[in-house]
Amino acid sequence: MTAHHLRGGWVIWTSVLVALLLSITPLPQALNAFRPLWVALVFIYWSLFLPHRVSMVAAFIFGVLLDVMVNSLLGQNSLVLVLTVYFSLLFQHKIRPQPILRQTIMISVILILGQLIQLWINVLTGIYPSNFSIFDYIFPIITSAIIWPWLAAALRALRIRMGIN
Amino acid sequence: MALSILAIVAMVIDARFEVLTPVRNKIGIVTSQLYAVTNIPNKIWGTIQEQFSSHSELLAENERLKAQSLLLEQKLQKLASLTEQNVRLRELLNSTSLVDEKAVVSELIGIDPNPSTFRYLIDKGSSDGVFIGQAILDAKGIMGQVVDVMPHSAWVLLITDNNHSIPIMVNRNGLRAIATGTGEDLLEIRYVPNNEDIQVNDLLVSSGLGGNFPAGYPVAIVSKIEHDNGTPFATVYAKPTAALNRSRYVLLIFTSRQILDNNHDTDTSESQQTPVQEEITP
Repeated sequence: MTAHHLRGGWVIWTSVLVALLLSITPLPQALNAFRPLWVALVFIYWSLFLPHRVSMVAAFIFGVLLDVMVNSLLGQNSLVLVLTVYFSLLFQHKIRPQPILRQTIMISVILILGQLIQLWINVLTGIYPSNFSIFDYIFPIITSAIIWPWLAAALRALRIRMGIN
Repeated sequence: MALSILAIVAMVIDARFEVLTPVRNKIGIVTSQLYAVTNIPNKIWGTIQEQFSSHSELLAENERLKAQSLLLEQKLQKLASLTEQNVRLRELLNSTSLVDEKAVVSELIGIDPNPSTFRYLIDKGSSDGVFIGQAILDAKGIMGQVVDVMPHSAWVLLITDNNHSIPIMVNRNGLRAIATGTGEDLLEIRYVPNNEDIQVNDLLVSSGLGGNFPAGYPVAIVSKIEHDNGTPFATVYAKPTAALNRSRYVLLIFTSRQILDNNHDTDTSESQQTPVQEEITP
């Protein structure tokens, strides 16, 4: 039963890996601040639509990877990702049936919470630069919200095509 | 919930102690591979450009490079005699001779995605003898220093990063100062008194104080000076001479003294964390 039920797991982890790669792809300096929160978005999608396939342990592990990649404190992105997945799992029944616009708004709220935690940690530990701007935290939420409907559609197509359940 | 607590504990440990550094380096081996993957489009683009650049273009480039190499060789001839002269004069003055430096070419493979820091990943690591605090140059001047070493790659902090400072002096008159990164493509020269002799277009070279950077390499050119009578110090900005955003190949500098230092004490990494410390260390 399990072997049949849990097929296509590699597709999920490949999508997360691609999200990791997208979050470090070199961009021009001006566009860097607008980079969407790829990993969080992909994790939110899978925890909304295939909640039994995503665990918070996985979120933690990928968070640590992300921490090393972007040189934040070990655990910073883990905490944010774990909480993101937690809230997505908690409110999945509320978020899933909504029309796409309202879904986007609800997801933005989760992302805002994540960015707030990032901001708090950075301010608490003093790891924020002197040219610090609040927009570095706001822009990613906006671009993430813009990208969410397309990302959700793409991952949905992928999920149906590959028959992942 | 337990995971959240674990994450918070990990953060506190990482922020206060250095216990997790080996863990970070181990994971870094994996993640630097991911950086190499994201660099593939860049490389493919490079090869496409190579394939499609025309024969005449290559000939023209070849011609230009030959001319350039001739010019450089001519300058080098002069330099040889000047170096000789310098050594002799230094012997006369009974001062130690300048150490010779060795350079290794390395390629840039990744850029830190965080918009507020300037860090590059290069393709040489501890297996090639790279050490923390090592100076990185390009053809035009100093780019930064190594802050994190993994077996086959290393992170370089650029001189324009907010957390970076480099001891410099004005080439024209030997006035010493500290150049701090601003988070833009600009350096701010700190603690220059209002009445000091510093002018726009002055070349700033590394002073070699602090021990991290070899002396005498160009760092920046003064671009703007503001005198404010209300403050004791002038506000001086300088533009880095190195092509920080464009250089693809960089030079790692090995001086014999630094390698010795590095073998004896490993805490050279401390000096790049706080800008002020560089100024004090002998």
